[in-house]
Amino acid sequence: MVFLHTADWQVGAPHARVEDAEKRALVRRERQAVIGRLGAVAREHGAAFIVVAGDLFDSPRPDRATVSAACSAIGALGLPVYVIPGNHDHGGPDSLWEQPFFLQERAALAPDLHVLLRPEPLELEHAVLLPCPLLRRHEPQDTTAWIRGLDFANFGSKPRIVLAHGSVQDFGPAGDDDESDGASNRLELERLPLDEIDYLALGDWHGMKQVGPKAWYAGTPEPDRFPRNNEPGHGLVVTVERGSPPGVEAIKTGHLRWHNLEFDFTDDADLEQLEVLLAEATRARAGEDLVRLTLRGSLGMSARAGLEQRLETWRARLLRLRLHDQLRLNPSTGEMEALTQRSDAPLAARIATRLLEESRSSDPEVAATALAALRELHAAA
Amino acid sequence: MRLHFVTVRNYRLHRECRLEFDDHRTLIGGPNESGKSTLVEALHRAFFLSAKGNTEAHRAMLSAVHDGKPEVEVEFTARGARHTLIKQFKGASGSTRLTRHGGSTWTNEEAEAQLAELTGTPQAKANKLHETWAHLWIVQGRSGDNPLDPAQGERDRLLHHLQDEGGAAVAQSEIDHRLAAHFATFVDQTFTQNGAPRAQSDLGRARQELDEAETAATQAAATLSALEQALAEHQQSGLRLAEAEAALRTLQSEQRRLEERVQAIALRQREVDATQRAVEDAIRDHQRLADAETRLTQSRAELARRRESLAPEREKLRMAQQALQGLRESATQAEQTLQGASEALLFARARHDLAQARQQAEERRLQVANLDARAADVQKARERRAALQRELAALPALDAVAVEALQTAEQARARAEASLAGMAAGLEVLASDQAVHLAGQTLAPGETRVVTESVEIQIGDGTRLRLHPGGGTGLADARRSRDQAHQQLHHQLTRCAVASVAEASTLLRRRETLQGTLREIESELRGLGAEQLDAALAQARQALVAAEAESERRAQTLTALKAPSGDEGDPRMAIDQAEREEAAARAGQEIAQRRWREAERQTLERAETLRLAETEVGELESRLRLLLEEHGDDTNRAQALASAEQARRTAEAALQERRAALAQLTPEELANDRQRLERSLLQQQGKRDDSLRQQADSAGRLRTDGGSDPVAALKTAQARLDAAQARHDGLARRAAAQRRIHELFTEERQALSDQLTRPLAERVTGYLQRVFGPEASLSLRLEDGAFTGLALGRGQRGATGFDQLSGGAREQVAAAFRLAMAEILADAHEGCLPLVFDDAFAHSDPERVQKLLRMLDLAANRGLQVIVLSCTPADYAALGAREITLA
Repeated sequence: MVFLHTADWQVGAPHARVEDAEKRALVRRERQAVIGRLGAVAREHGAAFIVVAGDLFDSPRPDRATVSAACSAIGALGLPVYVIPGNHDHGGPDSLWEQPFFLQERAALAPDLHVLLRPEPLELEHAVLLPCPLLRRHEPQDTTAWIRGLDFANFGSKPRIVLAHGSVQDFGPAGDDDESDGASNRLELERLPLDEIDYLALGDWHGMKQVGPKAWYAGTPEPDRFPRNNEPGHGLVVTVERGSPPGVEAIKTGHLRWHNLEFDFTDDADLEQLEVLLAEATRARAGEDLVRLTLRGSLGMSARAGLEQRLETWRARLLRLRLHDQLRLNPSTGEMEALTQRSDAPLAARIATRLLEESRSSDPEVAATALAALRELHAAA
Repeated sequence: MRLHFVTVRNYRLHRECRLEFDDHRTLIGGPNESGKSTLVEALHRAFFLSAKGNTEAHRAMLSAVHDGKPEVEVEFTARGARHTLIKQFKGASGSTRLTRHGGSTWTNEEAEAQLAELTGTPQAKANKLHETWAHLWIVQGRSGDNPLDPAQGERDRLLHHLQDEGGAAVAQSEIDHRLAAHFATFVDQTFTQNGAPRAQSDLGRARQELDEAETAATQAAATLSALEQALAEHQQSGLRLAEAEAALRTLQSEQRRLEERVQAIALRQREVDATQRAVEDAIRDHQRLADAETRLTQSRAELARRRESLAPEREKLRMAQQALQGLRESATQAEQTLQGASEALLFARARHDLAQARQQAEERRLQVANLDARAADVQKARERRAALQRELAALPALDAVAVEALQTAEQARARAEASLAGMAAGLEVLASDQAVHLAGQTLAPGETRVVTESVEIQIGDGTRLRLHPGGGTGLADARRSRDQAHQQLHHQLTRCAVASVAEASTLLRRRETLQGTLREIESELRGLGAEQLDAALAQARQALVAAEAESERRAQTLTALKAPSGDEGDPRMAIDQAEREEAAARAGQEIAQRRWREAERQTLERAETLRLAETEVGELESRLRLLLEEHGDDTNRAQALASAEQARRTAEAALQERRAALAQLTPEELANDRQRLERSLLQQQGKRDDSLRQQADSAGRLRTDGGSDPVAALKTAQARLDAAQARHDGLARRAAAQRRIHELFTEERQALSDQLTRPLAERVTGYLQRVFGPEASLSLRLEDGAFTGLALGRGQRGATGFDQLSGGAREQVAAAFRLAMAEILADAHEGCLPLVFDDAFAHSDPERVQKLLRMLDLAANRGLQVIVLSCTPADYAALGAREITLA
């Protein structure tokens, strides 16, 4: 049988770092829009149901609007959706999954949404789900432990699918820049009776990744952070049979692009190169990319001023420009001479000389202020 | 420029006045109101006031005493040529004429223009007139003003000169100005006076935004943290609740078990009590029987003993009775003996009494006789006394005092006589052939007559002599004295009733003797007890009578008694014997009596005792009988006792068992166990209640209304904070940079101005040191194109601002400054400018003035033309100036 494996939707994520309000709304909405695309993929491939391996919501307490929108989107999928709580939307006392409002909206908008809050098998028509819900943010115990002693005899020939959320040996979702979590929900998959299990649908790692013969992380269907060695933006179409290895097809569902770029300035003229780099990454589109740009090297004052200008343009075009500015200001000889040797402003020239002096100070504050002052002088003069 | 001559006509009080200035030093002296200042003013007006005009300045120069319009003529050198200026102030028709010697002549407007050029100063507007050249010409009363004020007007010129002097100074350009202004504006807009960012500036707003973002982020974090806290508490309280409930269940079952135990203990206790009572009964029974047995045995023994002791008692009684009889007889006998002895005694006593009475009477008789004798003596003495008293009375009353007085008087008379006699003259007729008469008495030859008064001695008929013995009055006095003494004596003798003193003495002696004898007699009488004698005698007689009566009575008594046999002997001794015998008899009788009574008593006692003992025995016997009846015979009793003993033992054993059974349940622990259990129950209940409460509380906090997502809120707040921080930091960096630039501009411009002002300050210092000494210095700044901060430095003492200096110091500093300034400006005037000091050192003391002269002298040496006006020109003599005196 075929089903769709997805996880880490992070619906309701505020994307607060996107400064422009409208752009932020756009990014947020994409998180919801992807649900529809997942549904399309699922239906296209004849999936019997969809499993969400945790972190459907970004917060254990999403506001009502978010809840309603999510339920609505899920309801529109037309397929049964099985969800376990992850560490972001964990279960536990008074969790959102038991709040009257959620239950109300689910009943009204997504009656085929099933939230599995108890670690006990759920037998479906064509498969057995073994959910390992997280009932709190940090669960020191292995949530899959209950499976170890399970009697599989009752399940017959139905494929057994484990739903779990957490980190596996060797690597975990080591905190990305924006959202370092450090939630240590360890899953000890090697202790499971793997022969009795046909697929392990994992969540928490935002990039799609296979971590065992039958264990996959689906990753988030719509990327939500600057990537670091992973490939987010997919849904997994899984074909599974009792006793056979699963067949997994990764389908791209992501829309917005998150880029991680670096650039080194060795010459003032490199400014053009940077332009090219950015243009290529965004393929001359506006409103669809988020860029994390790390700048290194040194620039002269004019070039620096020029850079500032260009960056303004990019800020406008991109949904978000996250700048790591490690550039040093290195006024060129010509630039300095222009300031210190000018005859039509002897006082200013003297001052420029003094600032140049100060920019070499061992006190970083003094040096930084002096450099900035030189820029100002250069700009004013 | 140098002044040479000035002529002033019709200018206020001056009709016509001409002055010649020295090229270097001029001193114009004159008393107050001599017109010195007027001259200076006229000079000033000639240069700087237009000839045509009718301003207040014009009107002020009009003379009240002189006709004609004011006119000033000045001869001076400027631009290397000598000039003459004639100005007539005639209102609208005023005229100006300037002639360069050996050159052109200008009139009116042209002249004014040329003049302006020469002085380097345009003609002044009427209201600014006094400011013109105010830096050079010190007007009276303004000498203490801050010299910087007039200097401002010359600033540019000064600066220009100073810049040339400064040499390597860097000029400022327009662009520099613009840049400086640009940054200054920015800094002013961005920062307040104390360097804090202005709230309205970008930086200020960024700061605010940052603060708000921080607050928001903190709040969001707090909210989230509170939720997490509530969650943790919820879980924890759940655990505790479970624990408490489990504990309570355990405690409750324990409580039930405790109750059961309580019941069991009560039951066993009751059993023990019952058994206890049974044991007590058994013991009592046994005891009773045992007691009875004991009593019986005791009684038997007692009875036997008593019976035994009866017999000896009886025997004793019999013997006692016998003895008693004997004693009774003895007693009777003793009685009789006593009777006899008493009678004998009685008789002896009576005899003795009689003897005594007779003796007493005899004694009394003697006494009376004695007394009689004594009475006779007394009588004799009394008679003697009476006689003496009569004799004494017959004598005149004289005492030793009186006799002495007499003696004294006699002596006095004797003395008087003697003296008189001494005065007396003895007239002895040795021979006479005539009849000698002395006081009429014939004095035969061989007769001596003592003459004690003046007497007439007649010798014959023809000779009459008066003899004054003792020289006159003395004789009379002596005679008088003698007469007086004689009279006195006589008087006294009469008073004492004696004929002579010798008699008086004799009488006195006699008196004394008599008195002595009288005293002797008195004492004799006393010795005899004369007073009491009569009484004593009467008493004694009475006593005698009584004694005789008594005697009689006793005699009678005696005869009434029976006389005993035997001789009577001495009554006294008889009494003694009789007494002794009687006493003995009595004693004997008493003893016998006592013995008998004692014996009687004892016997009775014994009888009684015996009786009692017999009675007791009887009682005992009956009691014994009763006991036996009660308790049965010996056999029965023994049986009963044995079975009672057995019963007791059985009961005791049973009690022991029951007690052990009870102890098993540890009843003594019961109270503790109960308390412990109750405490635990309370504790656990409390824990349960607390946990329930906490759970409810945390559940309440967990329940959100779904209006907002706290996690998202925190992320948003955090992002906002980071952005605000970045923006603020960027702005702050820019602001700091711009401020730094501004600071640098300010510094550089200041350095520049300092460079400019230094030469001026140094020059002034040079002058000042002439007055204040080598430690003096002047400081001054150029700020924003204006001179400011003029201060006098005094080495260690620091600097004092111009306005804080004393009046005198101000004058001196101002003068030095002007001199320095003039030196600098003089460059444009061929190295010379005229300086006028009109009464400029009024506040400076003479010593300072002398130092000032040095300053002025130096200035003159450097080329300046120094003109000093003073009412006390003598003070300035040391300047060595040309002196002009105005009358």
